[in-house]
Amino acid sequence: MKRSVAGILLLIVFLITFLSRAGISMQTDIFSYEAYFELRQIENINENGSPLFEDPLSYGGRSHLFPPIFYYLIALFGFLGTSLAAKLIPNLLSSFIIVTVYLMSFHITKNRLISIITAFFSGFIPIFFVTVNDISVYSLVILLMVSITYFMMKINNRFHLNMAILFMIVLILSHSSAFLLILGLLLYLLLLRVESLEVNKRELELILFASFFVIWFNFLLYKNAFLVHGPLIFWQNIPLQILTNFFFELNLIQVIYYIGIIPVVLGIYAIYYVLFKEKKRSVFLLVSMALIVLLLLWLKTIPFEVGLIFLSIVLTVLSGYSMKLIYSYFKKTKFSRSGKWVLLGIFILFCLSSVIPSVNLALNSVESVPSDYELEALDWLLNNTDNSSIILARVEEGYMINHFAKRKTVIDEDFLLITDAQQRYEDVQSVFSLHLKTEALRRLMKYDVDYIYFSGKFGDEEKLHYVDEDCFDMVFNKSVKIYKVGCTIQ
Amino acid sequence: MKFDRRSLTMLVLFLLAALMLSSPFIVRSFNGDPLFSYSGSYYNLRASEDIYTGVYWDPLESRIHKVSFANYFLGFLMSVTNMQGIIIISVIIGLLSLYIFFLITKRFYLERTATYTAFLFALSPMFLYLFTRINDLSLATFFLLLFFHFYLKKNYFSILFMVLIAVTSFQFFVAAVIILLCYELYSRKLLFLISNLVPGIIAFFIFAFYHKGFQIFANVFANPSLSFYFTSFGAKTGIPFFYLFLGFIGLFATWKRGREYSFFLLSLVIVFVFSFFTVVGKVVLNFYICFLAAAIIITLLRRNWAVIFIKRFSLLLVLCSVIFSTSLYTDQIINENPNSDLVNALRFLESQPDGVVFSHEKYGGFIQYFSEKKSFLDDNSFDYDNYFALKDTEQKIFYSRNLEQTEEILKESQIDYILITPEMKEGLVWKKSDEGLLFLLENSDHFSKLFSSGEITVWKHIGGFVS
Repeated sequence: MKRSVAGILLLIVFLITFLSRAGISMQTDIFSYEAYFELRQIENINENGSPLFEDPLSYGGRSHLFPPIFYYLIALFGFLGTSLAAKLIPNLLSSFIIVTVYLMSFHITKNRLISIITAFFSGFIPIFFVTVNDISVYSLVILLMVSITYFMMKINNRFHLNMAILFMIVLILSHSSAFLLILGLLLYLLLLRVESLEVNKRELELILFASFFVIWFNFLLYKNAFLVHGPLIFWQNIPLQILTNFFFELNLIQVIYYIGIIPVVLGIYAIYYVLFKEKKRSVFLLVSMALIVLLLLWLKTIPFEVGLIFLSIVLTVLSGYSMKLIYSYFKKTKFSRSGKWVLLGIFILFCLSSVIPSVNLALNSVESVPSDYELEALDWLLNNTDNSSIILARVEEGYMINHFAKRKTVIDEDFLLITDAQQRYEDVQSVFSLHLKTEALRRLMKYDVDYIYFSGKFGDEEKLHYVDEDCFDMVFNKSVKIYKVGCTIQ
Repeated sequence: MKFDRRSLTMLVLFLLAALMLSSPFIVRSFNGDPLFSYSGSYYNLRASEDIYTGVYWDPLESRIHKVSFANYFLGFLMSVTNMQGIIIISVIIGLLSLYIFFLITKRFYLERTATYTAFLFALSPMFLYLFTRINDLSLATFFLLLFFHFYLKKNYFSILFMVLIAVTSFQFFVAAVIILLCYELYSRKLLFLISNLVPGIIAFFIFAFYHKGFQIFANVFANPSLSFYFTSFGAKTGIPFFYLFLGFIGLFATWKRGREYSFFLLSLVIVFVFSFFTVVGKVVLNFYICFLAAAIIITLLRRNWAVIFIKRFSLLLVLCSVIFSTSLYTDQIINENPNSDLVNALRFLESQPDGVVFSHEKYGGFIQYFSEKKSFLDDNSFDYDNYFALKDTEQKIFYSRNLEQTEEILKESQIDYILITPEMKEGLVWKKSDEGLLFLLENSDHFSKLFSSGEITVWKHIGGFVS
């Protein structure tokens, strides 16, 4: 296949991916519940020049810890309008992964057609495609990681070396999951040693430097959190009840569903082939990444969703290598012409097993946004309550309330530096499930709650059992109920 | 006057060290705060003054003063000079310690390694902690270095310093013995070893016999938590995280097989384990870490790099981590209590009739020194037999909103005054403004506010009896 043809096909694949993502995302003006944290950061950068490290609303006032590069990047496109930039830029970054995957796949397979197919696969991984309506930092992180991996494959070229260094620094300053890449690279060095392959001096220096830099930077950033939480920081101080939803047992059926059967099967075959049959240096790097993610998922030290996203990209690229092996095999047999038909078959199977689920999941996620009634309720809170009012709502609704109603909340999904996160979570959950008014009031007084926001969307309760006219004035009632707390216990 | 490179390097080293040691005092003085930080320093000053004049009983703690040779030395200094003079002498001791450490390192390795080690030591938080005060730790460190310097030269002058270590700090004496025994694996000069040990042991027993307050097992097996271990996490006497990290990498850079290295490695392992449990372990470990960190820095400098940018950036990171560690700790010392507001409050209390002052135990040393009154609890209270009962009482007073119950406890404990600081209201004791005792103070007429400055308040319990 000619380079120009491949370029055009790549562009088409990129446009298909980007337009699919953007199109689905644009079906609603609203973002998913968890995206409002990111949106507030971006808005604050546009207004004040810096993110909200000191947040007066979350938990009634607290500090946040995070590397801010991603938010600055989106804020850079603030001229488009914050919401539009937040819709487009993450999806654009996610779509750019296709280009890097193509380059990496071509480096490994030397086959443009297979590389185009692999690039297409990477655009429609269900677990990653579903983030269309999140302002997901992983759109940048994955792009950087994949790019760094590609540049490392060609590290003897000065341009690629410089790009690897630059992207590495940006990645470390973007998100703490840079640790994942570093661990993968260290495992790669170990594999090279074990297989008696020569370690490239540039690779060694870059990996060791990156290891030191990532430890240094994350220590500086998360020092206070480490002091407060100790080893629990690795699990982000998430309350136990929620933890089970973040760190699943590794389940093959779920892995196949969220990644796609084609990348899983072909990716695993590539790992087997490289480890036991033919040692290919560039593929070793990918294998190391896959193995480290599997290990961390098995040890439950990274959230399930995050681990699967990383694993899916790596397996997808590895599946390109497997396709090359299959294609080369067929070319050697009597059925040499059927190689392309096999690739077509794989492609169709992928479309059925991954593209359709990806689109379905994305459409479902677009529907799982705050409803009009919720927005109306939040608007009521904004216009009819004091600025200092404290709202008690479910964990999942915290960010949304901070953003739309601009009111303080008792709890949300960021638990770092919150010393009583476990207790707070239990108290908030019990407020929705209790039957005894005095017990509910005791918990409400503990956090100086002024209003209870009850949407019924999260949790099994259909109503609050203890509310009465004496102590709880229902001030809003349109699917979402808002109660004003009028009593205290002496 | 011409300076060769070596002299210039040493001059820069000593100027840097002098600047490091004097900067906290200069800034604190500029801020109007007392020169020394941490309540332990003030206990030492008070105890040394008493001990030097032959008073061994502490009327404010109702027990014998904690005694060591350092108290006699500090007491002598207090009799001949003022606070500024004491500071100058502590800085001089620090600079001498630095030089001796340099000489010791130079005995084993190249001068370049010794120079880098000395620089890292001068920039280490432990150096700052030890030599911005005079106490048993700082003097014992000085004597320890002098001891090893003369011991390595097989000079019998080492016996004098072994004796001085033994009467200054028993834990340092034990540390010196452990390192010596490890060294003897290499040098095998038992006779010289024994000739140093015996006088030390004799001196220890004689001193301990005549000074019941000589601390042998103070603070041993203390809480080995992160916040007490790393200065990066706020430890008063600790190791910087990045120093330990660099030291760990440096261990691989200096890895050699041989008897000479065995003694180093064995002593390092023992010291590392003890650093989790004693302050003395951390002080001694700091020396090892400075050396190992210097070794890795030199390795990085000497290495033939494939990518020069990475070399420069890596060295920059190392430099930044060292400087951050130091500046964080210096900032900690500068902002540490006591500040001028606290001193004013305590000076006010000094003018009040006698009585017991209740506050958080970390202020105990300041209360005793500045107000000359008993404190309910202080830094040294942990070795009281009834410490836990006293802590329990303290917690009840802090957190109870029951006036009757609180008053009963105050009367039983003979507490007349209550000192409240902003730090206590911002998480040290309470998180809300109407918690426990705060609620009672603001809403009950059984308490009278005697003094208020900034956010520091002094209250009197009306109806509490005056001793």
